[in-house]
Amino acid sequence: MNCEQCKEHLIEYIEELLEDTQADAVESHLADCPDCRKEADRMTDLRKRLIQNGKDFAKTDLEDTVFNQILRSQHLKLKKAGKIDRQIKLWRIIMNSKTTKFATVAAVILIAALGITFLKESTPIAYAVEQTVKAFQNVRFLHMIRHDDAGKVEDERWIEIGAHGRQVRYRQNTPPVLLVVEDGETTAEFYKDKKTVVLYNNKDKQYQWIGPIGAALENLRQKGRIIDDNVIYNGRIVYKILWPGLNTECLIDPDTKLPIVIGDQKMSYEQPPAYIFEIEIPQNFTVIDRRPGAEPAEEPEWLTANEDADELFHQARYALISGDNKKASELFEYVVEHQPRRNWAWYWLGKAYYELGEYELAVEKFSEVIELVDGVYAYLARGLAYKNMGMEAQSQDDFNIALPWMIRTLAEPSAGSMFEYADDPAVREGKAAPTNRQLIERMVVRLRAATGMYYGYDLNLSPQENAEAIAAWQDWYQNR
Amino acid sequence: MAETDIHYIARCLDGHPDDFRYLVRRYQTALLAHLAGQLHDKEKAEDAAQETLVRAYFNLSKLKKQKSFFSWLLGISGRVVKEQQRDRQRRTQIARSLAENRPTVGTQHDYPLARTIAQLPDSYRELILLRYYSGLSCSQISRQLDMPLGTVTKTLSRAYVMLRDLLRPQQNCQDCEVQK
Repeated sequence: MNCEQCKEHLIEYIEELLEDTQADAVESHLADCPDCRKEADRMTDLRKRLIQNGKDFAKTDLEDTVFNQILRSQHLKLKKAGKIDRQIKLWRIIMNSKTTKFATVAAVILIAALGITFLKESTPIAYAVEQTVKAFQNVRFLHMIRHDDAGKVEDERWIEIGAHGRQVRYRQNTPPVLLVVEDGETTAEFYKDKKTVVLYNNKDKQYQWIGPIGAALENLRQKGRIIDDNVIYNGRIVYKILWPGLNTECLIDPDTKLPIVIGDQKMSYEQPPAYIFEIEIPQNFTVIDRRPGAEPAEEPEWLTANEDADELFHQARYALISGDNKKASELFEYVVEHQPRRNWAWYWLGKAYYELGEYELAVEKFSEVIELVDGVYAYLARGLAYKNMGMEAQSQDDFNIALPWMIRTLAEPSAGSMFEYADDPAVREGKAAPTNRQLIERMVVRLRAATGMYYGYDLNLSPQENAEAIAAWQDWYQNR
Repeated sequence: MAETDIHYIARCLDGHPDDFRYLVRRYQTALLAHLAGQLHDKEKAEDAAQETLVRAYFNLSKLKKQKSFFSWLLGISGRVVKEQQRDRQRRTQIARSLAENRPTVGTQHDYPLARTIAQLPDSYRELILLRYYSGLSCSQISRQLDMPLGTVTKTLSRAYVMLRDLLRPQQNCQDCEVQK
């Protein structure tokens, strides 16, 4: 290797990009040539200087400052747009009315005063969904409660989250029958109607609220979005966000950035009394101990039937996925008989009947879902079943409930995830993860079925053409 | 370095402002060093970098070649610098500020080097910034700029030579002062 060749490869040598043989050649040339060695030293010094300077500048972190400024600007832009509208409207109302014309001066003063208060109240508190994710990371206790229309507790849960971000202790009270307490070592299932408690090693059986909390938060971080930053809840202005992974809307406390409402559950984060996570077995309860090392005991038939139902639920889903609707319907019937609160079993049972052309039975099963969880996808399914039965009015009523979500999916595809989950049981397995465009396309198919309208949207069309189709659907919905 | 710029840009355009953080994280050091080289002041450079990034965010939809996000960013930063200099001139004409004579804050930074980088032709400067201030490897740069690896190392090599030559007179001068 001569000097010219050496210089040509010097940077690659310093950057360690050369293959061994070439690097050896450079090295042996450098060993013999003081000029090139000097050049190499200078280059290495310069490289060190560059790296050091890079490190020095890296000490400044602009991320939060930039991000907050973006949010603030965005917020101001939105507010500005909204505020101008509002003022013009107020002005028009005042000027159109003869009786109020006299009071115009006073009204203008009032508007000014309102404007000031409005600005004060709405001084942009920069908020991004990510702040909720961050706030969640400091949460140790979750307390969630759901009431029925009469104000009675339908479901109440307490969760303790450990330092590793996973659930460590848990309590779920679902009156009238089920109470579950997990103290970290043992899971106790209390069947109050049977006066029986079943004990498991916590490692063998765990109840969960939303599965791994980390994954749910990651979904929120990636796909969550602000729907409305000015919702009044209990006399306060709160944010409304969409949490696609939970298929639900949440209300966010602007101070703590934590959800105060998730779907139909109220959330709080106080430390519970000690007994909440303690397993206390009433004297008159039969104990079935399934923890390792416990004496095997005779188990009641209802308990094994319940466990069979768990297994059959999965088999039934596979039957449905593979198109064996007859088998699916039979298996799901068994499941709902033993686990009447299992909403997805009811839904897919309805779906199996729908596919079999048994629309009346399908309506009955979808109604159970609506009764249990009020799922918007169930309204669409029931509406379609009614339609097939020729019951147009009932069908329209159901579609009217489902349509806002369906239309919303066109702009925010993740809003369609729940429909997807409902229509394709394979989604549950993580086997089918539709892309945004597929979510839209499939929603358009549902919209066509429900409305009889046809606005073209097709994966094969250009983005421009598809944007036009989406706009046409939105127009139709707004003007219908 | 999990996703490409194009991915994050698409996410931002899709209504996920949070994802702009990744782009900020990726380029803030390079951008700051570049601006510090032009403005010779860390605080001014930070202000300009912040303004550049915010402006970039709100104009993402206008970016045609998404692969060239960084050079586009440098372009915006050039305009921001000009505007800020103009504003500053106007202000100093009205009232000459004492701050003008204040020593540069943050003397731990190698301003002569940053200044010299700012003098390099665009393509050389971009490569130096990406390599040493954004911490991208040569092969990552090659992928990002859609440039053969050989071209990357050759350009880098030339950039080194230019840098060295541009830095030399300054060094000599410093030597002179020491000798005196």
